[in-house]
Amino acid sequence: MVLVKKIKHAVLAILIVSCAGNSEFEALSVDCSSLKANISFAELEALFTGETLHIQDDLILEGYVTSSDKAGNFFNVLHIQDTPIAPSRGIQLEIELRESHLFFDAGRKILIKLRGLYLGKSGATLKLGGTFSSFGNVSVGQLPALKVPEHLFVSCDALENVQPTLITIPKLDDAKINTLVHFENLEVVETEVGQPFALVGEETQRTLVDCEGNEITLLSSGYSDFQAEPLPAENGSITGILLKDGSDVQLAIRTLADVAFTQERCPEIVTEFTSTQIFISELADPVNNTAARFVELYNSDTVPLDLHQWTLRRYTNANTTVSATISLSGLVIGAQSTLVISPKAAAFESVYGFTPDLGVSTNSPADSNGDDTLELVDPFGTVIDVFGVIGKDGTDTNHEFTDGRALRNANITEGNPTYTFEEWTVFNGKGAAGTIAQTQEAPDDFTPGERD
Amino acid sequence: MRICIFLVLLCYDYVVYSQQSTVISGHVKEMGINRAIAKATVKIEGAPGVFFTDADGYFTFETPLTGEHIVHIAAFDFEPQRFSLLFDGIPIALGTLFLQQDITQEKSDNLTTITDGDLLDQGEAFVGAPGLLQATRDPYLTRAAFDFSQAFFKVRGYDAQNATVLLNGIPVNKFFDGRPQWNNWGGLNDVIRNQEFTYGLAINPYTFGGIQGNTNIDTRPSAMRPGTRVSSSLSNRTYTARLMATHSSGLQANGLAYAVSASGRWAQEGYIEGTLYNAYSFFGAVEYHLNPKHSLALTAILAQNRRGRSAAITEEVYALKGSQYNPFWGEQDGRIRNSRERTVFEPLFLLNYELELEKLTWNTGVAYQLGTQSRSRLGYFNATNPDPTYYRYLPSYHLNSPIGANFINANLAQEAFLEGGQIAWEQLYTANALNAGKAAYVLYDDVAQNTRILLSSSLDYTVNEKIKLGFGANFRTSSSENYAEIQDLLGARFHEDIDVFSNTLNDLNGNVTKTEGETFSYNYGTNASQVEAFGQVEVTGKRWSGFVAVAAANFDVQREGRFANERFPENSFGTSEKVALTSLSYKGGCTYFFSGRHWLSAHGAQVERPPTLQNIFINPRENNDIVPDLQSETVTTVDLSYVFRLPDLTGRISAFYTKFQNTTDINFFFVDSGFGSDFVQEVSTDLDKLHQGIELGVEYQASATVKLSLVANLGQYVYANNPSVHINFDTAGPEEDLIDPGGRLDLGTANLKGIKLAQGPQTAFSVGMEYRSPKYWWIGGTANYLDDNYSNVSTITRTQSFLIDPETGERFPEATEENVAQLLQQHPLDAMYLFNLVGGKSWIVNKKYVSAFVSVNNLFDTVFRTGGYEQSRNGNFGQLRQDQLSGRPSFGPKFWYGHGRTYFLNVAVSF
Repeated sequence: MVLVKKIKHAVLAILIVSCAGNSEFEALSVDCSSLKANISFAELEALFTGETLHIQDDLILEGYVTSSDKAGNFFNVLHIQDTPIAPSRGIQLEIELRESHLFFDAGRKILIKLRGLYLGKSGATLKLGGTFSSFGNVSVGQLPALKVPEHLFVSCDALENVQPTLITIPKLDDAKINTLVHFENLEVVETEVGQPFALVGEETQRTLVDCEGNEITLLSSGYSDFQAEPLPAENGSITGILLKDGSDVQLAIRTLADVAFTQERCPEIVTEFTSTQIFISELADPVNNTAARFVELYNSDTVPLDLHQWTLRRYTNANTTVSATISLSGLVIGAQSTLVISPKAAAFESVYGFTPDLGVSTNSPADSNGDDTLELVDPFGTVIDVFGVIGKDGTDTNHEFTDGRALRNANITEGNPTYTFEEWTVFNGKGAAGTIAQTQEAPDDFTPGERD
Repeated sequence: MRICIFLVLLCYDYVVYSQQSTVISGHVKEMGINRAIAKATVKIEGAPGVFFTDADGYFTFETPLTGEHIVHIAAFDFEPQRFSLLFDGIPIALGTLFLQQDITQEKSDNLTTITDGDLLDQGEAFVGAPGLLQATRDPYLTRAAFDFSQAFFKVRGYDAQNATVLLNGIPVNKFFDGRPQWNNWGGLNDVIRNQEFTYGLAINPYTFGGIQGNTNIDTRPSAMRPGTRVSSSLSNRTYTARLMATHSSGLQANGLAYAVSASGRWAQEGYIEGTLYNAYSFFGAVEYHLNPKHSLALTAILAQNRRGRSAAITEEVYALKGSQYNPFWGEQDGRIRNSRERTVFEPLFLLNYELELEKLTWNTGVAYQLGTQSRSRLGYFNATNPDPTYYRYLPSYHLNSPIGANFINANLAQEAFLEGGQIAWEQLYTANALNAGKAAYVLYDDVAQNTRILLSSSLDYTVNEKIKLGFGANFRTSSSENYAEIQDLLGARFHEDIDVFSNTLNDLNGNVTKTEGETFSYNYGTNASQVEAFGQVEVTGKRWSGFVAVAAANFDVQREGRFANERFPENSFGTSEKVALTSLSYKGGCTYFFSGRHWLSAHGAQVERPPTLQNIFINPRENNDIVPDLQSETVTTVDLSYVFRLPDLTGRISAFYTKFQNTTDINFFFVDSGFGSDFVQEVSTDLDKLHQGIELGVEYQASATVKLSLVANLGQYVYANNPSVHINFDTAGPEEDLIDPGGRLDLGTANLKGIKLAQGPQTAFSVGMEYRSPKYWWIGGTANYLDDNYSNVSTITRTQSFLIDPETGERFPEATEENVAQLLQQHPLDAMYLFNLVGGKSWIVNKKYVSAFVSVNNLFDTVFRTGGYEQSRNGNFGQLRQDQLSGRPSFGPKFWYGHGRTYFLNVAVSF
């Protein structure tokens, strides 16, 4: 049986050899072009005068492909720039050619016969291609597939190593659009970490941020190979084509290899600090001038403190809910310094001769008529210091400073979230509950800006 | 004078008893060279007896008939003669009768250019008929073979699987499609010309056969005319040149006879662009007659045929590129390179034994065939479609854009398509070269490597003057290896054997990278065998004759997967379940003779047969799935014919009614159906078809030199019911994209009933005239009108799924009955008008017979579509309607275009 099979194959082989015609074709080498460019990117851009231009001249443009549709993140588009290193301009080439990387992969030098192509601009993006027609308006659209080989040629030069331009978000400019750029120290904003690069079938925008908080959009196709990959948590470098949609600057990567996020994320910027060494040091309700009311805070620490997110709250009379709040954000209280808050800054200045650190509105916590409770709260909601008792009207108590003054005793160096009368010297018109019955007049009876 | 050989009984029943019988004698010779013709047949028309001339051309026979009768003398390769004689008991000595060499010999040389041509590309549905009919002299069938065939006319609308072809009594139709593979003996016209044809349900000594008719090709050298024949042809049809030489010894005194023949046919390009043709054929046969009773013959047939194929095209493409356009080729190094070539090389070896006794003939034969059929194809993997007529490349794509027509881009696309429109080989090489060795484009072959053993035996026994018996049996076994093989990596180093749509491996156990010459994509074998036995009895009465035949067969087939396919891990590798089907068939017929010049015959049959292999396995390239509830097809057919053979007027009119029931059909395509989009196998089962019609063929001998003919066919070939349809698909893709996670979806029934079948023109009329000069030249012309030709409809669009909006899952609100009916309305192709001319002349030069033959087809160069098919891509109402809005659909029907004016010229020398 084996012999029969062998004979069978031998006979067949002989017959085939003797009968078969010659169907062999020699392999062809790469179909490349040595056309010479006769127009620069800048000259091409200058041809555009606001209307979509159907190019009629025998112009040849050469450029380097930076995009690639290998991973499916680019579709029917090529981005090219004029030089492999430090390009001056880039162009977007719209072609109805899928899997264009087979011919025009990233790094390929190509030559473009411009005659017959359409030139246009969409915002800052220079475009070449066929047409897109909408309501009679012709703009640049995809060049029909069978036309592509008539216009686009692979150069006979070897694949070039296109070097992305290192850039930072604040330094972006329109000349970099459609070119390959590289950022260091970017990361995905915290809320998007772990989400997919793109939603299935949808072009998706994600946000990248640098350590200074500058942001740029990462644009990915819902049809890309890496669409479902989670966005990395780390920080690092990223390479891609710079795009611009309206005023929104975007970055599109070719493949996942363009993302090298391997370092730790940017250090968190702590802007909220707490301290127990900040407290209310003086409250004023001058009997002669309600416009000269103020609140004085004091920092007994030897370092200044940013009062970002600090607040001063007022519980009017016997209220148990906050009646008014002053935000202290933006203020820095100096080391062993006071901070004066006035509800009527102009009046304050005319009375006391200097401007308060913060001018606020009337009826604010700085405008207490002496029977209200005041709270100093840090950014984390902790009550650092209090004057008065919440829910208790100050009238005729040991925390009434109506027509008078409440002064923190000089030996106090820390706030106290529980009102402790012994820490205060309180003047008013009545002298109830151990307070001193002695109205106070501005400016002489008060010491805003001073801590003895 | 010697006594002629007496084979079949004389019809003594015809005798009017009071009359005495008449003795008729004569001597038959070849005109021009005066050579005696042996084995010429002599018969009285309308009477069932046949006599033969002896080795020296003499015949004598006695007939009890009286009155005027027509005597018919015929011989293989010669033009028959018929003349009227009065039988009145006085012996008639006819003297020397000269027969002229048959010009249809040249006509059939020409015919083969049609048979192995582009017709093959229509799924090879057609090729059988014209080849089959070349042996007949029926005016209707002759016209069908030589003129209507250009228009892909099918006799009775039947597929070629309904005719059985036998080589020396051995049936050679293939299990795959049920059809004979004419390329297996193509180009060997000289040695396969000896054919015995029985039309329709007529009884055949070798086989029960098919309902269309059966042809036995006799390759035994003893039956060939001794001598040498050399011929040369020029044409602009499928090939441009042909050379053929044949030598036959005739039966020598030592009992040996041999014949050899060889031919070559070539074309850089046939009538259709880019269709190369390259064929070489060799034939050798030797026969030994032990004695007059026993003979043994050994035949080898080696026919190799390679040609470039052509494509069906949409009307849009035709309008831009014309009827000769073929997108399959492109230039490489200044030469035509066709991406879709077909090569057939399946040598056949036959050994036949014949026992011939006075009352018994016994034929036994064995055939062994091995070889390959391969079709090349361009594969593209994560690359753009290299077909220049891909819908995204054509102007219509820009006109049919969902966001509105873009005329500028449409124009650009048109310019580019007009400028190019061929395979851009240099682009394919470039893509492969630039991609680090991995092939984006691969030229590969779909190969079927077949081995067949065929055994057959048939016996004819004449019991007495009235009864004849016949028995036969045959066993056929065929094993076939089917696989894709990388022919050319087009500059790449390897191919990654992955299904790019689902990212799954085609060959789990093999290397993922494949190189030239390696098998990839799919690989499976089939083993099929059939044993069949038949018996028949023929009875001849006084004014009638009749027969009945019965056949029983058992068929089995099994698939064996050689690749484990990741998409079908469970049932791709290893053997399938074994399909076994038995079938029982009957046929019968009777003829009533009103007289020797008029008779009426009726036939009927009920035939069971297994589906062909291509309709058993749903997706054999990938898995073992078998059509569920597979059943044998049943064919029920009756026909009635009236035949008249007057001295000047002969003809036949027939009516037929045939029903094909329980047939199965499998199609493959990508569809955007109402239930989603996928590449599917569409399986239609319980499909019934009805073929009915009338055929007419009349010939009138207007004078000694002029013959007129009239042929008509009025047929109606329709789907007779609404078949059940389901689709199968793989489930390897993302789940949300799947039509159904089970991989199979029942679509209910398809509304096909009443739709016309795409079985060629259903209406045909033809008139012909022939002038035969006594000076040995001859000219003929036919004017042909063919109509009611339909393209093949898509089945899936006739199911309920078509009405469903894939976006919403609900019925399209606009899909009203009227709108759907309008959208799916079947339109006939345009009527065809074809005028054909043939002519010939022969000379005797130094006792050598020289003949020239010329044929011009479609003299007025009309453009016509021979057939087509609806694309199934737009499988939902909304999409199909959207596609047709612009008037230039992207997925409109594709059509085959017939040849314009073509010629064929042949010169032959015989000596």
